[in-house]
Amino acid sequence: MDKFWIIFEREYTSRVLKKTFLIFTILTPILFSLLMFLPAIAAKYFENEQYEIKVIDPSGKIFASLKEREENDMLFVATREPLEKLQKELVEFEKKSKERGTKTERDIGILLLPEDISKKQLSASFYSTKALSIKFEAKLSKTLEKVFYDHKIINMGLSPQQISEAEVELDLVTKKISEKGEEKTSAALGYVFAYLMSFLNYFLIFIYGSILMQGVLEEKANRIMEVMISSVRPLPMMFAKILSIASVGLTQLFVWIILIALITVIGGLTLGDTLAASSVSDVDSSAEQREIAQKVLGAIQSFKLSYILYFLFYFLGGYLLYGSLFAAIGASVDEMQDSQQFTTIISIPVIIPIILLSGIMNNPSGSLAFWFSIIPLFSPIIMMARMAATEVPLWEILLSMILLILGTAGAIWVAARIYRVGVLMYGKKPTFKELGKWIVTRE
Amino acid sequence: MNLLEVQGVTKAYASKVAVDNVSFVLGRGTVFGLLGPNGAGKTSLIRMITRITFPDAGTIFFEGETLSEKHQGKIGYMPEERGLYRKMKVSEQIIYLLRLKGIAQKQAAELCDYWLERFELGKWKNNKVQELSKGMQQKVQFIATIAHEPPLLILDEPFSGLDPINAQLIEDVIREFSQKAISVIFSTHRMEQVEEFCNRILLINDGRVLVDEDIRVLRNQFRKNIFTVELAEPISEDFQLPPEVTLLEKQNYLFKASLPPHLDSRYLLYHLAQKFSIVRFEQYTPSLREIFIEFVNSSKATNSN
Repeated sequence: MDKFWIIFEREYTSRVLKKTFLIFTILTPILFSLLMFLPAIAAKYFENEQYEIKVIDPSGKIFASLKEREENDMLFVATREPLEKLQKELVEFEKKSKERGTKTERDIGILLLPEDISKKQLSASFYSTKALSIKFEAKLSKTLEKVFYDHKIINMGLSPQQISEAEVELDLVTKKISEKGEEKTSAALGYVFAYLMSFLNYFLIFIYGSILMQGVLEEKANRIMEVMISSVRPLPMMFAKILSIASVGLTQLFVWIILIALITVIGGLTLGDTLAASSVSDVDSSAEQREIAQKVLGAIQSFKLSYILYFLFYFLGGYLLYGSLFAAIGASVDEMQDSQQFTTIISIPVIIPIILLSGIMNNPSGSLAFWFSIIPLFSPIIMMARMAATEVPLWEILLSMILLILGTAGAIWVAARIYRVGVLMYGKKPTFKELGKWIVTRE
Repeated sequence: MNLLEVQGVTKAYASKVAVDNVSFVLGRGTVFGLLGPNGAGKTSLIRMITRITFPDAGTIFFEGETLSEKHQGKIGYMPEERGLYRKMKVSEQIIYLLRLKGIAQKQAAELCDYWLERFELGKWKNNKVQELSKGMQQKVQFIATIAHEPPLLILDEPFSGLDPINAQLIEDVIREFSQKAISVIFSTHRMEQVEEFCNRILLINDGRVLVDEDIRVLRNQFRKNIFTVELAEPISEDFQLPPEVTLLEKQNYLFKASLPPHLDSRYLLYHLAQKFSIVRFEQYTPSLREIFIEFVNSSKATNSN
């Protein structure tokens, strides 16, 4: 047991103290949160462009209602000058202010409205010395649409008041019902989350499985294995490796959970107002983004502890199941290239659920979903997806967990049999028949 | 009490019997040469003594007890294929391997410092193993094997790849250890090294023991009735030897002759002394190398018959 801990300690510390590990562990949640908060941060800290727009309105019927919809970043001024002259002036002005090095408070734009405003397909042109942001362009375009639309309706005989009375806003709220009552959810978000979690589990199982395999392979290739085995029995050694790398994975997950929770709380406090003021104006194109960010934030803030615990369980189970098989591969070949054939075969059962994921998610309570979340080879990935998308009955979860434990025990048993023979075999890559023999032969 | 006793040990692999009913005894302080051609079963035997594998039949006793896990710390093993963790620091590496042999951290660190200094590796202590030359890595591996002075050392080709100066460092340690009653099993193909160090040899071929003998006794057994004689004057054309003696070779001052088994050196010396002044008189003793080849060939012959 002493030796087990000596190996465990070395394997764990040598990996956790690696620079790449530290950087990856700390940077990932920060990047993740940045992505999440980016729209809000952008809205808060980056000032939007502000324009003074000179409007040429040949019909003379639009400018008045446009002026009514003026906002601080979008001022409208009527002009009668010809377009060419305005353009020249604008370029001239820009050049001069550049030479003087002064910054103008507002940028200047020229808006040319159509002459015939009765057509269905209308076209207006906007001239400026800088490219417009997508957001501003959308805002301007929506404002214009609205103005022309209102103009047409007023022509049909409705008053502006009637128009605003006819306007409707609708927010679709989806609710999931279960024995516990109803909970607010967003179906789309649930699916995104389900995909995210099952992919995360898939990557973690693969990454840590390969790290384990590489570790074993290195010992074999470096020929230190024989020295090690003359001091420690192969199985305690294998378990020390598998469990130390599992601990490295758990360490990483804990750091991620804590950092994300921390950032979410801090972010929620500092950016909460911006997020809450999501739909200030219905022409704001980032409103949708903000709404999503708000929902994700809400989902994370109301994140259930039980889901985290399930996730850790399924990560650990999946890692032990696949990881021990990866370790066995590492032990039975001498070189990285030789391992490929075997890793491909092990990868198939991990990839199948990923391929079937969208089909399963169409009906997260269907029989396909049920079976794939029960079978140990697939359950770490599919169960995480199902749990994120729907309420899975407790008995199914328990059954899946028990089967995963049994499956893991079986995989470890097979791996141990291969490992103890494989670590001392050099030369030819073993065939499947030989691997089978290693499994059944006694010590 | 003997340090190690191997009794009727057999190990078979799928394709062949690697070790076939091998028995031998190893006393304390013995430097034991384990010899045999490639594939003779040396490594298989060593792996059973180091508990890397287990015999199909037979028993191994260590200090009078059946070999078990608790003895692993008392055996230091340096395999022929050297191996270290390449990214580990030299001192960390040595301490780690010593701790796995059951040495406490603090003591392991002290031993590590002592031996690194003695092997002139002190300033490399904090370097990664992969930054060291091959010879230095070999010394690190040797230190990790012997630093805790286990009662039994098993060294497989310990000198391969070492320059004479570094080889001397290791030789000194082996001699020093045998004074301390530490036994060494020394597996090698280099016969001159065996002759230099070992006081006993075990020669195996095809998994079976061919010779298990004290090195002096062995040489006496193989001493042949062939003599090399150097005279003070040139040998003349009409040079004559007694009828029982067969002349094998003749040069200016020197000749080689063989005697029948019932006669020994006294007979030849007596005859020569009456006529010639003798500068050198030597009974031919085969080198271990020749004994080795003869044994292996004769065992092949019996096998094929």
